[in-house]
Amino acid sequence: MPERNTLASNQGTSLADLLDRVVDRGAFVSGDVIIQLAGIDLIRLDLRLLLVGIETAHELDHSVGGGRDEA
Amino acid sequence: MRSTLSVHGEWKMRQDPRQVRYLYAIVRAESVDVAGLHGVGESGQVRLVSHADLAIAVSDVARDALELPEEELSENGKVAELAMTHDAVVRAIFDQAPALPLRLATVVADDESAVRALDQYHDEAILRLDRLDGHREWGIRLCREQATQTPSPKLDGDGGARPTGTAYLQRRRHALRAGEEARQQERALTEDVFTTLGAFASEMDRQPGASADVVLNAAYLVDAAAEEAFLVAAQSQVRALAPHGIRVDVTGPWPPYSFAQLRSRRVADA
Repeated sequence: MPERNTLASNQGTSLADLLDRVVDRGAFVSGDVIIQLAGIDLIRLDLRLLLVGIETAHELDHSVGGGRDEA
Repeated sequence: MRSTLSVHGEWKMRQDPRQVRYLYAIVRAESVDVAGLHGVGESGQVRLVSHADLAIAVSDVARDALELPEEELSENGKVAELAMTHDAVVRAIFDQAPALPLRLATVVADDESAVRALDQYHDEAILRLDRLDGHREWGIRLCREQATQTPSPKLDGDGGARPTGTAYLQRRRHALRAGEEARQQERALTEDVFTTLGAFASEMDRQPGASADVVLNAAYLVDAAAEEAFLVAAQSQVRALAPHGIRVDVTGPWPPYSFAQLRSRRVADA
C-alpha cells in the first residue's frame, strides 16, 4: 500500500476521501427527500465540504495562487 | 422479518413530526441485520423499512439535529461527524450483503416516504444490487507531485548574452511546446492507467479531481476474485508513474458509493 493519510481517519481513509465519496456519490433519490439541511443549499454545502476536505487532508498540495476556478 | 411499517414499542417517537428519517442504504429484504447499529440521531438506532423484496436502513432523527450552521463545515465539525457516522453504518450493512449507499444526508419525512422511494426505484435497485453482488469499490487517484516538476530551461543557449528578439521568441515557443508535450504525455499516461486497471474491474467511473493537481480521480468496482490482481496492478502503476512525477493513491475498499446511482424514472413531477 502507498502511504496512508492518517488525518481524521475512518478505518484508514482520510476525511477528504470520505467526503469525496459520501457527498458526491451514492444513490440520489428524489421525491419526498428533504434536500435541505436547515436552510443550507445542498449544492453549496457540497462545494464547501469539498473545499474543506482539500484544505485539511492534502497539505502536500499547497497549490497556492493558481486561481483556477473549476466550479 | 418485519413487514412494511411495522411499529415496535420503542418507535413511538416516529409519530412525532419533528422526527424525520435519515436514510443509509438500500438492501434486499432480509439480507442484513441492523440490530445494535447506531447512526445519526439521538437514539440513532438503525432499523429497516421494508417494501416488497427491498428494505432501506433508516434511523430517526430530530429535524433540529440536522441543523448545520456554516461554521460546522470544518474538519471536526458536525458535517465530518455526520459523514463518518453515515459511512460507518453503510459499511456495517455492506459487510453483510450487497447495499446501495445513499448520498450523505438523504432525509425523508416519514416511513411512508421511504417506502415510496423504494417503490419508485424498485426495479433499478434490484438490478444494481445484482450487479454489485460480491464486489467492492476501490479508488485510484493520480496526483502531480510538486517536487518533481522539471525546472524550465531559462538559461539555455548562449549563457549570459542578451537574447535577441528572435531567440527569445524561439525559446518561448520551445517552452510552450515542451509544456504542451508534457501535458499530452500526462494525459496519455492517465488514460493508460485508467484503462489498464479497468481490465480488472466490472465497472469503472471517473470524477473530476478535487484540485488542479489531481489528474485522475477514478473508481473501480472490483469482484472479490479479481481484487488481488487489481491491487497488484495498481502497485505496479505506483512504481511506473513515480518517475513521471505522478503519485498514485489507492483508497479502499469502499462500499460501492460510486456505483449506486439510480436513475430517476422521470415521472412527471406531480
